[in-house]
Amino acid sequence: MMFETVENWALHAYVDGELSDVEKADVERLLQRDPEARRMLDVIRRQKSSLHQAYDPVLDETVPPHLLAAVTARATPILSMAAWRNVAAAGLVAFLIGGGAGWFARQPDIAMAESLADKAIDTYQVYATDFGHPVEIGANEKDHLQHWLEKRIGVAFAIPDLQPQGYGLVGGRLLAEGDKPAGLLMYENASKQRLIIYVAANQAQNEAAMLVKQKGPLVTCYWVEKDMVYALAGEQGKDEMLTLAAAAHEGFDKTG
Amino acid sequence: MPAGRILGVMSTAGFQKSLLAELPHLRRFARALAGDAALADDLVQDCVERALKKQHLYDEARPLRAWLYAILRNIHVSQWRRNRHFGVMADIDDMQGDEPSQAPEQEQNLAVIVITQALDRLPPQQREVLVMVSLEEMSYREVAEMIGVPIGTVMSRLSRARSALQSILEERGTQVLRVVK
Repeated sequence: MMFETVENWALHAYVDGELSDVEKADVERLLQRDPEARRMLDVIRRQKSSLHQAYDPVLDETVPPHLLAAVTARATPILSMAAWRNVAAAGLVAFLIGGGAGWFARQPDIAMAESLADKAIDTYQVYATDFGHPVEIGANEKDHLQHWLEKRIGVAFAIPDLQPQGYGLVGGRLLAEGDKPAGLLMYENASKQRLIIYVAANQAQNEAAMLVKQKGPLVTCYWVEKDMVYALAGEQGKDEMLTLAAAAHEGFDKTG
Repeated sequence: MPAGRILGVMSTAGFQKSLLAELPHLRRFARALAGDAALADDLVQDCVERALKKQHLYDEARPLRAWLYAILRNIHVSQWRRNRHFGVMADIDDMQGDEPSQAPEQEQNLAVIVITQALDRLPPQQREVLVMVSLEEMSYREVAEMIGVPIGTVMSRLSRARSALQSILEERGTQVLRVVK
């Protein structure tokens, strides 16, 4: 077999980054004097790049909603009964695929998350239905919009790019959340279907994770992060909203 | 509520977030191991379900991805061992005349089709080692630990996999390779 000699094993180890500097120098000398070794090195490298070419695109595919749901749907059993009662009291019973549950960290977050969902729904109903003046600052001034909202809300974030999911940014505006500023980002797909993201600072600094709620045709997915909270709202189905929520989550995170 | 329980819930939320972040890599690993896109996503789903059930066994000091890969790989191995007895491998040969089964929505050029079909013809023990090293960039030691064999065995499977893959590619037509290189 062409690969089964000691020198050849060294070639594999060389390509795979398994060698020390001294060993690497040995292999490099071998490569200089042996055209067959160079040919084999080329074969190994080409195989490697073909594998990446064939499978790396999977990393950029949209994760199917049933896999997102498989991750989120199992949260229920580990919730204590006390937490469940709070969930029920807060009226948050209609979550996630097939009546599963969302994720929660602690009790205070549930009330906070609940009001967040309501705000996102209200915001959607007021602004997403407005085709004359839906936003204050348009997508053509995206950087300005981002800096302005960051400054007013007091949290650093990136405006998520939902283009891969078919949603272009329309723009955004400043909102009032009590006496604190909050932000609205609006997106639209090719068939003029809209999606809003409501963003605010997390005053409580308590983390929860993602929750999903449905109210009539409106679905909202909301995240409670350490510094900020955000909620997507739209009339997309739950599956599409989960996909969009995951993409938005990643998009916000990119600022680091 | 007892403090321990709250902590448990919190770490589960964190664990699920980390799991979400690993989904793209789990899908790539599964696709390269199983070939077929639907089978691969089934593997990922089984892996996620098992990971959530066994979360208490996860040692947070170690990388989550390696732990998940080990789970996914074990599920895959038990499936191909089972399938060997039922002759499912024969079905795969029947399917080769059809259109490629993976990711129809994804534009696939000739080189990609050639390499994925060649991979399908490798013995599973060689394929997994090749995928772990050449695609997932795992070290020989990590592979040895994950599949439970000595490093020497990893190296010999790897070199046999690369030889076999090259023979298959050459046999399938160097012309194609030359064009797309």
